[in-house]
Amino acid sequence: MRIENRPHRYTEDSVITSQRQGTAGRGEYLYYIAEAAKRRGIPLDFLYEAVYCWGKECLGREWDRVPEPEELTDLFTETANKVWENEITVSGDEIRVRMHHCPFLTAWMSLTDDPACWKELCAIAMEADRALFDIPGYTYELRETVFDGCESCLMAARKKQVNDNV
Amino acid sequence: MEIKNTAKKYLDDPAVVTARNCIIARGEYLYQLVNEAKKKGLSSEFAHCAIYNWGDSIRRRLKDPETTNVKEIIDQLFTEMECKIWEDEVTATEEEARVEFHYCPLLEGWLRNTDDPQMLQELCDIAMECDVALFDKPRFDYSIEESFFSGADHCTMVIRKHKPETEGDTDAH
Repeated sequence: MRIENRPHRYTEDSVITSQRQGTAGRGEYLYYIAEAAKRRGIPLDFLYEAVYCWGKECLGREWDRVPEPEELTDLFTETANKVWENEITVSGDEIRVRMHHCPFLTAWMSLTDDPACWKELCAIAMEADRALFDIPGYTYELRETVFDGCESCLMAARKKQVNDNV
Repeated sequence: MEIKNTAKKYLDDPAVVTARNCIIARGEYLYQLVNEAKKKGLSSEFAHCAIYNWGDSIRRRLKDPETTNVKEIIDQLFTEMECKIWEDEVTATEEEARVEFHYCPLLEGWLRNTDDPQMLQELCDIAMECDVALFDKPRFDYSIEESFFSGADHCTMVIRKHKPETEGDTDAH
């Protein structure tokens, strides 16, 4: 599987580089913890739950109403958008976030050449985004990933319609 | 237990602040991972092993991973940026080094999630496995002389080149 994950933008920006390196460090932590758990036959569900909790505590926001999709662009700081080379679009009832670079994946690719391992670690790490988009009145979906051959990863959150679930 | 862990320097340096925030996030990540494991009745032994292995991977990326020259390793690890992030005071010779760090971003991350002294100490023990790996036996003797948990406003790591105790000790060969 050939995955292109090189950063193309902000590579001369020392703050963005520092953030990318720091985020990659967290990705390395996750790799070694998952590997140690697997070698001991420990099921990894606790990692999914832990990262979801982290996302809720550190990234999430309390909502006392159903927000409009445009408001959700505020969930992503300018720095985060640069680090991940995010392309954010709001169309109709949904917000789409296309990530063109992933510092976590940079870390995992330096530690293992096993695509199944990358994909598993990604699924764990994305629990943080699932927590971020755990918003009343919204459904969240990871629609495209580089593991499926796409050029970049795409997540989306859609405001539920009245007719949904009918 | 009052823990004195406040960043005092480089607060307006964007690169330092960014790096600190990343390490704080890593500390919070570790808290959640260990906390969820505990909830499931798992021992945290796997976390100790994991972070040791992470430290060992850093050691293997050093210029001379097997060197016994303490200053050589210290100079590579405690760069200007690292010393700013952790507010380090470092003294090192070929034989011995003392590293006093006056701020710990990992500890800041943990304190945002818990004030349980036992949990804090456990998380610290896990995180310090990285340093245990970097200054591994039998090359070095590594110890913590003071810590935030003993009421100090800094932690002190001491690393000494391991010296064999007797003439017959196989380390001497």
